[in-house]
Amino acid sequence: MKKVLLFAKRNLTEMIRDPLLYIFCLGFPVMMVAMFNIILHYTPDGETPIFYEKSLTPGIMVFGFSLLMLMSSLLVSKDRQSAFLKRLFSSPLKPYQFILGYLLPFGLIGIVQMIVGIASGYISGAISGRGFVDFGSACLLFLEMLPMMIINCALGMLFGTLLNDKSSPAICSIFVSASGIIGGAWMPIDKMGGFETACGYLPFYESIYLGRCITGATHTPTDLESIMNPAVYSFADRGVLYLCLYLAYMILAVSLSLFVFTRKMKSDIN
Amino acid sequence: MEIIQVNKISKNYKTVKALDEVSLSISEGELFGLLGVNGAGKTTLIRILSGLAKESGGDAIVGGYSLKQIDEIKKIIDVSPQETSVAMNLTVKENLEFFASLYDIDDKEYFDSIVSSFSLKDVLSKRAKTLSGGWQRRLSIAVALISKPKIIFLDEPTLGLDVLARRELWKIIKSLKGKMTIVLTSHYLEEIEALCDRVAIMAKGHLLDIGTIEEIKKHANETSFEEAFVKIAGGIVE
Repeated sequence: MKKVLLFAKRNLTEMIRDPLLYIFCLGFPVMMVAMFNIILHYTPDGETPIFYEKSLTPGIMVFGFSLLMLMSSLLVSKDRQSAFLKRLFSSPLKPYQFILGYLLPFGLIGIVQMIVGIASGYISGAISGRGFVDFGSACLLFLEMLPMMIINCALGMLFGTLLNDKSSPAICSIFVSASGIIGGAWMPIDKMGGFETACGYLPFYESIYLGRCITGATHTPTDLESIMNPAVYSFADRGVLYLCLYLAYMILAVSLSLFVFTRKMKSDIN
Repeated sequence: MEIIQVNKISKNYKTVKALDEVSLSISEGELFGLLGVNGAGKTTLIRILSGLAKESGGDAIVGGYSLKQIDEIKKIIDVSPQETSVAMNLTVKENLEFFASLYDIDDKEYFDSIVSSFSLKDVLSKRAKTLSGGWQRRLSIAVALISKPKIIFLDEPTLGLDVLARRELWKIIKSLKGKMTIVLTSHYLEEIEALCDRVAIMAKGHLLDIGTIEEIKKHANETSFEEAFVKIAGGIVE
């Protein structure tokens, strides 16, 4: 375990010394909450509940995780491309120590990112009166978002293992877009019928949907009646199915990432 | 006493035979050079001996361990690859400490001696990425030594460095003579001539000649090492 922590410390140091981490992973949630507050200021009341903190916070978090994926993949791909990882392969480090040494700092940054994301949504929501008001919801949201954070860390390691530092950002940008669009972070896909059903088979929308169930977010209104009596996201609707699929994606992403990294490590030594 | 014995090592990549039954032995404390043009198989041999590549045939005994016991070998060797291989966002001190801890080395005196021999004291708090290429390479070799290896593999240690930086590194490598076994690859003849106790000349995966500089010149019947190398590597001397 000592060597795992040693390698994890090196990886964490490399990441926290990159200014992009603060802009993308930590400054981003605060900036997004502020930006949507400005948009709301100029929008008629009640027409865009998707921009309320209780609806927006899960989306911002999922979007933010895709940026963590990008940073993670960059670290792994740069290590692979430079001779640094090659040199470590000749050291007494074991494959599982490499994997944990990467995943631990990614997870740690992810946790800080989650705290920043939830705190910014919570505080802003408390001020505007459009947020999730109890601390229990904030804690539950933290737990609910953990699998999505793990999925992104695992995928970051996967893309970093397979791609170089030029192509991994390109692939990660697909996920950045996906979390914003098909995740429904700021697009009202809950009113898009079949498209929403299709998005429900992917972890982006599942995690945001479940997050909105926790924060008590309301669905996008389609008429005056739904503006007056908005329908709340309900776990009873699709919660169980989404939770099962969501956790299955986490297991799949972690397994795939571990399998590919160990296999690639072996093939690099052949 | 022989610390490395290479016995008929071969390495095949799909259609290319990178090493063809190479056999040689290296004594403890020796500074041994592997000389050859690009594609000779020098780096492949080092990669196999350090566990970074798998042999296709043959075996080697490194520090008393067979290649089958590569985990034991990894504890007593270190490698400085062709490319600079340090953590760029860590400081010089953090790089040295990281690699020392990786090998469970906690020896302040030895740490200071490495810092002093590589003249790293003034740059200890600088991040590796801010150093020049010559200093990065110097750090890369220092990092390989910090683990107190019995055997160190230096793959093209001065590749891409200017004359002054190269001479500085030569001085450092010379100062290590006798303290550990050093296996150095190079395609610079003057480097091999200046540093190595014995040399193996390789070409296209074959070992063509082995001996001291004088012995090699004698085998080729030449007075200059360069002429001897050209003759041997060019296949004139069988």
